[in-house]
Amino acid sequence: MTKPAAAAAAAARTTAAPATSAATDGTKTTYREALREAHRDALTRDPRVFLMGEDVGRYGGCFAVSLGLLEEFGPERIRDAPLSESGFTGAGIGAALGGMRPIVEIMTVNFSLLAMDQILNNAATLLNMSGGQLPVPLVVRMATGAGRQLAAQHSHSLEGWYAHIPGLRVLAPATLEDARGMLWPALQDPDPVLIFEHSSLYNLAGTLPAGAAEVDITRAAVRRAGTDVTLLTYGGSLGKVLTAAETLAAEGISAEVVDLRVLRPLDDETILASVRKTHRAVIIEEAWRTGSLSAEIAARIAEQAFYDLDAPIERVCAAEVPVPYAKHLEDAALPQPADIVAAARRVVTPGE
Amino acid sequence: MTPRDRSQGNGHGSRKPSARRTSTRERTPTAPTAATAPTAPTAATNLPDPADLLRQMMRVRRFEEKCAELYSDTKIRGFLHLCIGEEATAVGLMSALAPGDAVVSTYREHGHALARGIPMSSVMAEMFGKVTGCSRGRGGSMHLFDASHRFYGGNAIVAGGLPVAVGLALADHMNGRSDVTACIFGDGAMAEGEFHESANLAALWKLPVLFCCENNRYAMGTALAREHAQTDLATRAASYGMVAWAVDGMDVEAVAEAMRRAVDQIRGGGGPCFLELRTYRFRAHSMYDPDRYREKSEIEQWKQSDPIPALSGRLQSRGTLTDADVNRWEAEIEAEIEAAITFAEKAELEPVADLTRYVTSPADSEGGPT
Repeated sequence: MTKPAAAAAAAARTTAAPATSAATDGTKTTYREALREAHRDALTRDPRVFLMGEDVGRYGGCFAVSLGLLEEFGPERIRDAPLSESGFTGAGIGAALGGMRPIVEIMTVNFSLLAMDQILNNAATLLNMSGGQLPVPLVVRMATGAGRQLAAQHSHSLEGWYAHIPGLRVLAPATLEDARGMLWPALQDPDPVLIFEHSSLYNLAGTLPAGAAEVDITRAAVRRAGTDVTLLTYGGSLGKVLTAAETLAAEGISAEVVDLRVLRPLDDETILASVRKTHRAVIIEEAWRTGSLSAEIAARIAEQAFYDLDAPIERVCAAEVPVPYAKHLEDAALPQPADIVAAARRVVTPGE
Repeated sequence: MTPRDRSQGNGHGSRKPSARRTSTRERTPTAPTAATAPTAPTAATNLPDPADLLRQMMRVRRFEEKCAELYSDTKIRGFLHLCIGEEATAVGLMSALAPGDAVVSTYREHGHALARGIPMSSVMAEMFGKVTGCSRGRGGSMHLFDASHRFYGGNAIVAGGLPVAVGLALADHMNGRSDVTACIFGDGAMAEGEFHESANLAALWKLPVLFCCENNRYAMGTALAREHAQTDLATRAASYGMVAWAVDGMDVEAVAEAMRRAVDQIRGGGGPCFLELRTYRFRAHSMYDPDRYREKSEIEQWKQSDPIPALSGRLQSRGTLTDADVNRWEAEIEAEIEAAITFAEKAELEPVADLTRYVTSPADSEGGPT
């Protein structure tokens, strides 16, 4: 387990799942296994649900999320698709229109660009363009993010592009509870839902409370309470931010960590409540700074809580380069705990 | 080049002969193309009344002519793509579909929508941008939708509807339903990757998709031979392992019969079929198009194959059509169009307060998150 993953696991342990009490008799699991259990649960509960994507069946999923599900549910419902992202994503849209509840898995967000036509021009648009006649109850899952030396065609964080699009719900599970609990409510949504799984999280291990099954997919979550500064983040950066918060605590700076969880529609209420309490905000994301989600959040804070701020908003984002292969360069391109700590220090003690 | 000219060079019919396919030759001047098809379609039965096909083509033609006038009067705005000249494909296609079948169409879809049975008044109101339009004024000419007729657009991304059609068929297949999804697109779409992904998926999974390629010889302004290395489109489709053949798209009876056979074969579990309907649009691509890319003489030559007088002449020579029939239909169609315009004129506009309605489903939708 990576260090950030360990921190996120610590977060998972310290944050109660929304629907259940903190468990003492929870089960040891991983993010990957929690996702798999979520699929198993959905496939068992609803015969309309099926999983479709590249190598989801015999291979077991490129990140092994669906390993074993083919044997359990058969090739009709664990449906291996050819390398046709636009084709099978569009087929998911059509199947949703036809009464099914498809889960489409796309290997990575970089590959999803081949399906962007279907996601934007059809999934996100058909309900409105048909005057309300055609809701598209589709779930699309994909891996996102860097950190595994996969270079510039497997490592980007483009979920913010999708969060730009009206008609979509965009989720980013960062904890075991969310990995386990977001899929079912996403399938109950009558409209398309995109789920972004940071590829560094699949091995995240921890304990899932017994009975954990379903979480709220409308709200952000405060993962660590604090009073001096609000650190806003999501997905694969959550672990780094919690690590930074520990460092800050040792320096006497009390950081509140907000996990956005839902990237569209953003939960302004939770974001603004935290900023109004701490009067300082740092936004951390693995995407490029220009035109990013962090830009959107900063704008919303400035629009709605300007007079509550005691310091300029800070952002810690990826360097504006294609993500490089070499480890030292990749590390330098991504937000690191030290960068987050430094940004928090700047807003808490300006001028020092 | 006329459809008859095109039929000369098609020598693929003998590559893998099948006794049952010969009837296609008899009925269509363009010989069947897809010799690599795994099975040949059986002879069509239960064909529609040709007189009704004629009446429907007249209805589509007159509707489109009226749309052009209304566009000039600025009652209709946006892009407007007319199917004048291509009525035989629209009417022939729809004649073979059952109410439970699904249709995914293009932006040149007025004829498809009307022939599918979507009320003319709601189509006209849509083009007037009114709330009583079939898409509540959110789609316009290019985006006609009607869930009650399983009419899934009105898609204006070339080939973008094809994967959706595959998915609709997948849902039918997974539920054991015998419905067919007819997916209509043009020759331009066959240069798009989404065509090839969709054809492969449908054939790979043996899905009940009927790929209907309206080959009108131009992708907007780019002629067939300038957009495709292999201009025999049915042959290309056949390479995916599905039954594929070309039909004279100016002959509504040929289209109807080919459709009937294809639908029967698909409904019988034979997997997808592909029909190349060789047709021609007499008008420009859209109302904005100055039509600089083709010779006037070519258009005039194709007008010799106008599907409406062609069928009318055949029926009169068969003794199954009188001038009185035609006159009566013309009057009925005129009245229907006038009523549709009146309906559209009088209809309300969607209140601006409802601008963001239907971006997402209402919160009380079944199973929606709170």
